[in-house]
Amino acid sequence: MSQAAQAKIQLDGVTRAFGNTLAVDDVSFHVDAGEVLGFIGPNGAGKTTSMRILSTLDSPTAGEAWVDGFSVVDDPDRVRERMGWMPDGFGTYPNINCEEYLDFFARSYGLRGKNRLRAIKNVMGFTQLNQLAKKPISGLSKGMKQRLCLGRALIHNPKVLILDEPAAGLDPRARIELREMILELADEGKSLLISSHILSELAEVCDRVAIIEKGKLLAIGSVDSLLKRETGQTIGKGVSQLEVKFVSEQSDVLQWFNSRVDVELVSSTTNSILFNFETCHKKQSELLAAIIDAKIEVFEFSEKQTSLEDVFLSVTRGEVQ
Amino acid sequence: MTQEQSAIEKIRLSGGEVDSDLLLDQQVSNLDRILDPLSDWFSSILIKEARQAVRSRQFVWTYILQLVLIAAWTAIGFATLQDELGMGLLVGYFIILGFPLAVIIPFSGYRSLAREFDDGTIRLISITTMKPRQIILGKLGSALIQLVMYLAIIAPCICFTYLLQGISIWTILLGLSVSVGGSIFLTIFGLFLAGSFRSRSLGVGVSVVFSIALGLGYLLWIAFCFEIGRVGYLGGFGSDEYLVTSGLIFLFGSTALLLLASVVAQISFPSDNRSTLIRIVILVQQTLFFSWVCQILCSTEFSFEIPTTLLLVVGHYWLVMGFLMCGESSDLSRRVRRALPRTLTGRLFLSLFMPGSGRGFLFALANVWAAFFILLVLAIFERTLFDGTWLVDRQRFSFRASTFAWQDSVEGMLNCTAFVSWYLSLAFLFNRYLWKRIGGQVELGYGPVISLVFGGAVVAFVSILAFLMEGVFIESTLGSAVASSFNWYSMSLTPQFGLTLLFCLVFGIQALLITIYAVYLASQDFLLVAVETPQRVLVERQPTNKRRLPVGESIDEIFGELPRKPSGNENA
Repeated sequence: MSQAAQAKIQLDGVTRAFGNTLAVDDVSFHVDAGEVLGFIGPNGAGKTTSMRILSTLDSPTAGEAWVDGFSVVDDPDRVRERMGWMPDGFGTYPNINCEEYLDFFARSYGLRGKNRLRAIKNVMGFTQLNQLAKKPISGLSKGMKQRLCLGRALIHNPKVLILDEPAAGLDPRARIELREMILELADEGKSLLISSHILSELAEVCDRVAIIEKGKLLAIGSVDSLLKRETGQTIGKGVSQLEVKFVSEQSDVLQWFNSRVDVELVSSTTNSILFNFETCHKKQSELLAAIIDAKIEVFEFSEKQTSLEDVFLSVTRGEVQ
Repeated sequence: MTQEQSAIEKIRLSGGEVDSDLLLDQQVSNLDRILDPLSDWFSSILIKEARQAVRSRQFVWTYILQLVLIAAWTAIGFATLQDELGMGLLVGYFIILGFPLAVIIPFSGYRSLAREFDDGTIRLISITTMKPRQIILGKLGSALIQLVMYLAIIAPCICFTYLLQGISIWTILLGLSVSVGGSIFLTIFGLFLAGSFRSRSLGVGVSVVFSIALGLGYLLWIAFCFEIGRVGYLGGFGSDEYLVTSGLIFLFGSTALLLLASVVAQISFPSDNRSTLIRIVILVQQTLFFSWVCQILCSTEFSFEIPTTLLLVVGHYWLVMGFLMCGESSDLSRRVRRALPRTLTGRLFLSLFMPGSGRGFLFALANVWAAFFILLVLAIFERTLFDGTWLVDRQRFSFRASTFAWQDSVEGMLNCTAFVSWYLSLAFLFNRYLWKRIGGQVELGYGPVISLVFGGAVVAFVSILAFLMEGVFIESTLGSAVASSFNWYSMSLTPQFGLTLLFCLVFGIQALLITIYAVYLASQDFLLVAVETPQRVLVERQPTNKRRLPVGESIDEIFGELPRKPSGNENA
């Protein structure tokens, strides 16, 4: 709990069982103020259940969860004052427009008078919905609805934001704008927990990433540390994965590379070859010089970067429950 | 983009102070500026639902249809009704008014909450700072607004019929109060149904059944309107009518409160206290019942059958309520345990209102025995209690008490109370066993369902037992039609000593032992100790000066916070 007092979000051994199925199994992590934590995992991994528990929509079978130091089970009212939740569905109402929708939620969060009007205007400005204030929700595009739902989650200026698949179905421009909004919110000191399947997006906005599968937390750490760990595990410490693209005959190139003891072949195609080699840049430049001396016509020599997708695929097994 | 707009664009959530007047000037009209502060006093649900309702096609078409029907009936009435024009028009107006009030509004109320579950928007409302009570009352409030709008267009016509004479103000008041009261009750019932049957597949079936029931209700309303027309001029309420009316108001009013408390509990967070409000309403309902009974006793001739019949009604009531309460989980959340009474006085008087199967069992038991003793006092003192003659005529009172002229009556009441106690003990023990075996693996509320099934089996068993033993035990002299249908516990014993002893041994002693054991187990719930409030919560509370109560938490923890005065939220 001492950590919980500092962290804005804290899960401590949270377990949620539905009959004999453990949707969330002894999950523990924390999110500090101003931090963005990406929550990734295959479908049915337990992400949404964990988020529902944090959002005071469900209670854990075992374990504890806190938001800003308040237990989500014992003090849901205080948690709700501090937490904004954006679910994967829109949850909109017919026969009302964007402004009225935000007005309803502002009132529901206890905002009154000028404070309410100010909050609505701030949120509409932030989500750039000003021009659509009087437009019925039913007429909004998916991206605009997504913005509106983000606005709803922000209307009471919460310290903690829980976003479940916020970028799902958005076009590239909307994704970029959403990413900017998330970074801006984090800069303001808000803590964000974001689940998404678009891992490249997460890698750019998240300070840390938690990977969950079958209800169990498999890995958690900064994106860099996870990438380094992944690189270390799959290739080995001090070893990089290099790719060479060429126009020469594949058999000649393979023969040359096989003759070298310091190269470990991984795979090859008709015009490229992937192999493990020492990370030392000097030795890599010597290898390139050797390749050119061997009359292999090279048009690209690069180090293959490990991505969050690689980490995700390596850590998870694609199992669902 | 204007300068003002660009300024707004620059505003970010926690950015610098925003000049709110700038925003008001830009966006809010003069009328809005006057009305907007007033709207802060209303529930957000009420405002949203009202906005949605007046824009919905269903409301617009029903409203237009009502206008057309009123105009048509007025024209037809004047053309065809020669005698009793006023009464004829009034009956027609009531029938026209009845359709939206008996069908449209209750069904809208039902759909309004059911749609929240279907669309998943209930999740969004639930995580706001609104209390479940505010959500439900907001839904009810929006139904009332529709009701007022429907009434508004027909009110001038009804006033006009009064001017035509031949109609008393009582007739109009009776029709209006029944239609409005009935509409509110049906709307609350609709909300209760929506909260109880949340799954989409089940909801379709419930929608169909509820709409059919509302249709039948409307037919009853039409019959009632014709009856008003047949009776003609209503001069006022006599004592009998007054008694019946007050009884109906008590019954439907308290039942409506109970349904509201139930639906509020259904949408509350699992760790919330979902029992106390219901128990208070149940107690209020019983109190209202007894106050109504006292009215009857004051105005009618006393009969020994009255207390016994009343106890049969009360006994059945606590039979149902008791095993629903026995089905609650014994494991209390920390949130509830914070609110447990800490003082001895608090434990003695408030513990029974706290959640938990043991407390529920004892609450039901205490109430049924309290009812027994109240009715016993009534049986002894008869109506002399109310006019004070028992103080003067001590000899007569002493005769009644000593000669046991009412022994059959008391015996029947005692049997009834003992049976309910034994039955609830079995239900409590069975539920306790179930919760221990399957605990958190089942949803809350599963226990009561099993209890009901189990209870049905026990009732059937005892009824068969009573039937088989009919030759052995004779019927009591209670004799009323109501009492005879519950013969399985209104039996009195024959002078045949051997069989009486056998009955006492086989049935009575085991019932006594089971009840004592159940009470012993249930009383252990009182030993639960209130947990301390976390430091973080105490720090949070420091600025506010809340009055201390004899319970662990503030009254807000028990009943939910009261609506906030719209003084503005500085955190926004």
